[in-house]
Amino acid sequence: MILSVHGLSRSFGGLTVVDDVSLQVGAGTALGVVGPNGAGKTTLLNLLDGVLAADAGRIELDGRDVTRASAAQRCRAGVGRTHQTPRPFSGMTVFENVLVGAVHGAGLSAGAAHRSAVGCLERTGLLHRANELAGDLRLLDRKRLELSRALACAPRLLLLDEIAGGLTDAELPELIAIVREVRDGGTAVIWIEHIVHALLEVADRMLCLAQGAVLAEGEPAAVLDDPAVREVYLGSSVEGLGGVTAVPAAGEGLPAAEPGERP
Amino acid sequence: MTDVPTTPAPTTAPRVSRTTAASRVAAVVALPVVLLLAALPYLAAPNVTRLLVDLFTLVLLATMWNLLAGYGGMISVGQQGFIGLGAYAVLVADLFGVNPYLGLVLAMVAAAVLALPTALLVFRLHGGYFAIGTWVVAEVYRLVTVEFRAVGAGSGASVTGLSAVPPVLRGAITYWCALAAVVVAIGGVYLLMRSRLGLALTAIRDEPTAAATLGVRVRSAKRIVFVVAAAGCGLAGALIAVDSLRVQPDSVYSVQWSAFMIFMVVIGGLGTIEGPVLGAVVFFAIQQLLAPYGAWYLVVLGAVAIAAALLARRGLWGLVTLHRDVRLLPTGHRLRQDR
Ligand SMILES: Nc1ncnc2c1ncn2[C@@H]1O[C@H](COP(=O)(O)OP(=O)(O)OP(=O)(O)O)[C@@H](O)[C@H]1O
Ligand SMILES: [Mg+2]
Repeated sequence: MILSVHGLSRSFGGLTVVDDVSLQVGAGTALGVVGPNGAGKTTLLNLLDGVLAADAGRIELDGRDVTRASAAQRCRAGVGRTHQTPRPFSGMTVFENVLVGAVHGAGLSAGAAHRSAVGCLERTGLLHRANELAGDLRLLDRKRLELSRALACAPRLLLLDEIAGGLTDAELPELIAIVREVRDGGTAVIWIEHIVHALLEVADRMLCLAQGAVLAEGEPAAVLDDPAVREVYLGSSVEGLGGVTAVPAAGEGLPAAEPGERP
Repeated sequence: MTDVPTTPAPTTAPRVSRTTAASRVAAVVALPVVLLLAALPYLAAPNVTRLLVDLFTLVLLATMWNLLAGYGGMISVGQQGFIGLGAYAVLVADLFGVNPYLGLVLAMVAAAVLALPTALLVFRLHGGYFAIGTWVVAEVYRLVTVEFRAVGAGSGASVTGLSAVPPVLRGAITYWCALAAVVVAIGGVYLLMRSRLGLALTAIRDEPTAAATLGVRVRSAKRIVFVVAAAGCGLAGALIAVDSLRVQPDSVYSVQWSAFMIFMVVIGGLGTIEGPVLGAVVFFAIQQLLAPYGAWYLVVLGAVAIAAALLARRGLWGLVTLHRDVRLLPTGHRLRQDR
């Protein structure tokens, strides 16, 4: 197993946002993560990549305990990550943004890092913007930049946080192809996405998070058919929390929902 | 971007370029210019080199503050702590009979060593608290310094070890030291910003969290910059001491230094190497031209700062490079497609 997580918890004040989560992801497999808004999905990624410290639990990367390791250490150990709300280095060019990952994340020397960064930009279709300031990019290109940077770290574990939102029907298959390719190259992938049909194209297993806890985990189709899972999705719609725009049609899994950027 | 490739995939891989036409010219011109400046004590009157010592000291300070704030994202208003420390290092060297010029090296080492525990303290603070924190630490340095009778307590002391050196020679040596300091500082920052550490620093300045998730060791990069900037400011303080031969705590530890540094860097252009140099020249010119009119120069400084904030958001150097790529010391990367 590339990643195994046992009993991971984190709370803010009195609010438990990630509650006793355990999961495992093996090399060359992808875990899809779904859950209503505010379920704690992004917080879970923050715990996995070291941006946040866990209150309890244990995170193992390739069998090594990294629970106390810093974000930078984890990245160097092979964790790549995209942010739901893009965090570009605004004053640097797109190419330089990716170079940071190639140099510091993957630890490449100048020449190799340059080639790797160009390759990553080519892959995500951002190469023609290489010399533009990242701060000048539109949202969609910012998301592409997030993915390019994460790829530049040569990750063994890739954490994706809602990168498909806003893509057109033509662009979505390209993204799915990239994630597949990364997975088939032996990288473990965790992909949070509200666009469930995109997830189904790649995910070998599926996990549904609700109120910080694992509600269901297993075969993607089985998880989506789980009455409890359907209940949370419907529930959030009924309570007007957003995240679901239509009631699922029979036999269609879950609806494709626009996550919408949160400030 | 004008040349978006709509044609089939390019045949050759893009090339990374790190120079500009202007920077290639600058590389050729730099050595003769430095040599000419080095020969200046033989060519010009001592009062000219004396003025240039002041200018070089300002350039050194501006370059160091820009390294901290423009590249490291650390807005410090406490660099006068290290300036004062550097000045007193010269006094202490003098006290022990060491050549005050060796005190310049001592000043850098002392400032760098004290910067380490200072960093430990102030790095716990962020934003405005960091700024105030550095100021408080600088005040503490001053308060501790004036406790020592041997260096003149509250009124300071004079550097006596250079009285045997003829004034003209002394002026020349001080000038050469200041020139060397500026060349090393600008060259050093240039090389540093083109290195892996420079890439890390720029990333940290823009988005520290993202930098960390891309493998950048944020703490250690900032610590290195803090120590280097402290050493540079210590050296500037020592230059002030050997130039004026007198060290007064209220003057060398004055928060005014921070105001000057911020002014020079912001006027010239934050986050560039050329900008702070330009800012220092402008500041120096204002200071010299308006010297006879007392406090008026502060009014003019304020007016210039307001004008720059309104008209030149990216400083004077930002205006210069607005339409033409005349960057002399580029640190970035440009991808070029040869066809
Ligand atoms: N730093 C923080 N401090 C306090 N509360 C937080 C913090 N980060 C997240 N939360 C809270 O934790 C809960 C889960 O947030 P999180 O962003 O992990 O949800 P999510 O599942 O990613 O939602 P979405 O689908 O909208 O992205 C929310 O109620 C949020 O307000
Ligand atoms: Mg989220």
